[in-house]
Amino acid sequence: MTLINATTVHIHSGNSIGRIRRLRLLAIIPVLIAAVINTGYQYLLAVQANGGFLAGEWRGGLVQFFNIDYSSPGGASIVIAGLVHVIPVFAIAMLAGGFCERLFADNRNRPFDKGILYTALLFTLLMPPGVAVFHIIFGMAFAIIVAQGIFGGEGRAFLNPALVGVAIVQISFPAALTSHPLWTGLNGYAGSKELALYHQQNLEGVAWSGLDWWQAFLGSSQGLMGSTSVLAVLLGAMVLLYGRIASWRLLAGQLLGVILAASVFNLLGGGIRDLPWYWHLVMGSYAFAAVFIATDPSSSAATNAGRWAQGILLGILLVLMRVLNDSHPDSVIPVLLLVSMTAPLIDHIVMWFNIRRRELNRG
Amino acid sequence: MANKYWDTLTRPLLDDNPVTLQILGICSALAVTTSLDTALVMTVAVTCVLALSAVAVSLIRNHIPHSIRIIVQITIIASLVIIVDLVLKAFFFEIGQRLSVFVGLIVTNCIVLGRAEGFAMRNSVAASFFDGIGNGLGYGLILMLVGAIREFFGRGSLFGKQILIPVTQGGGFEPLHIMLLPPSAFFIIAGIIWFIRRKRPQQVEKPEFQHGGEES
Repeated sequence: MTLINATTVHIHSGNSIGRIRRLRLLAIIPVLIAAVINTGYQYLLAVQANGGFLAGEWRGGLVQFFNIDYSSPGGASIVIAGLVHVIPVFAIAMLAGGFCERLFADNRNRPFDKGILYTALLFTLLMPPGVAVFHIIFGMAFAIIVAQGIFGGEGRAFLNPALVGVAIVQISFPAALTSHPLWTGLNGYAGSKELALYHQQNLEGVAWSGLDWWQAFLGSSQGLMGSTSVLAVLLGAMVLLYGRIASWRLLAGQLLGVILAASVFNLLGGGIRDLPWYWHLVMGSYAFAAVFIATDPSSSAATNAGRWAQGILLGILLVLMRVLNDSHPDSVIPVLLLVSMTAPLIDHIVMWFNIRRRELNRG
Repeated sequence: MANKYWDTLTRPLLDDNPVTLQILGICSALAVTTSLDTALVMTVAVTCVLALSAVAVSLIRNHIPHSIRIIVQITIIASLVIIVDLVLKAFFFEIGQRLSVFVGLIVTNCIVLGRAEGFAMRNSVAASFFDGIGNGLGYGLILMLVGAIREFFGRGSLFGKQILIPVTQGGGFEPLHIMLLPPSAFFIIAGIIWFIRRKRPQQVEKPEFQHGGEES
């Protein structure tokens, strides 16, 4: 006879999966807007610097189709140029992801997982603007098949599917991701211009190219589509924190970890070690990934002490890999893969300490 | 009795495959499968060592003192590996260089010692020989399959012969860099295991821990 039926817990809070979904979509809207505006603006600037559109590039063709004058980028033309970059990537990601999810759902007689909308959005925002169609399909299909279909599902994913998709694209096609054909392909690196510049010429090089901290904070520089504007990411973070979806401890822990590790490297000095912590926070796709991927409840620690620990670990590893590993200047994707996987272990250790403490207290 | 030997030879190919059922020899399967020719040479090397060590162990199985049998088996295997290594160096120098340390590491390949200890110690010389060949081929089958997939998608070639022309040379094929990295072999072997167990459900292991439904 079965007395204990170990299914899910029967505790209810105001949170439901529908509410989490809606709040997440709301939180990502500022980042989407910033992505459209900045990508369009940077694209038009690049075309201007190039003195014309590149031949045989379909995005350029689309922009030309709308009859845009690139010599004086104005509001409407910026938005159109941005949409031309953001919408196709998102649409292809949705199609590829939706197709794979449909296959899984039909095969297993389960409802279609609507979480792929959010996954596709995250994936889109972590892609460089010039990403090839095949890379989007490959990354998104891998994300949905492996990280969602086989090893996860909404609320059970041990790694965020979008993170897995982005990682597989970055690992599989390191050369092809070297940003937009028109943009500064500095050091052959996909991702942010500041980081690439920094690796070559230190902070003076960044300042020299006309980039300052505020610009990196507001997001007016070249980079992965959604990850340039830290301001927009912070707006999203406020929504997530207000809705109690993201844990403030996880974010505060990261801040602490970054400050700690960066300060230690500042003391050592030399090259990229001199980079102060407030620059680390605004460079590359760290801010975006920290707020939207690292705080994913299903792949982060569930105990309060564990959240602090995981956050600090993430911050330290981020700086470590950035500073010490030249092949991953924007280290946040591999670091997140590592840190997400430590979540169950960290929780286990926290609970073990808790049990020990209570045992000792009882005498 | 030919039927029995045939069975000993063919069982390790699919029903009792050392890689996909016993999950042995994974480390070398990750390391040498970046291209098909290294996988082939490794297969031949392991098959030779397996068959010859099984014969040698089986020949003297009644004379080995029980307490030092592992040492004797390892000595035999190590001697055979040295011979294989020397042959490779003499006749296939270049590919031997590419296999680098992994030829020497056949000594520690769990399949070789596993068959010597688990089969050759208890069976006749002929049966042990066929068992060694069969296990070598079963290991090789997976190795070649993984090697073919990795080389094809990672470089667009098979046996070093370009089949798809990569983008860098003006073709339409984009090499998947991850296929040349060790993790891809994990994915591919896992996929093969999944496929085999789906086709042959009797290979699926019972879960060690079952959720819910505890009797009380």
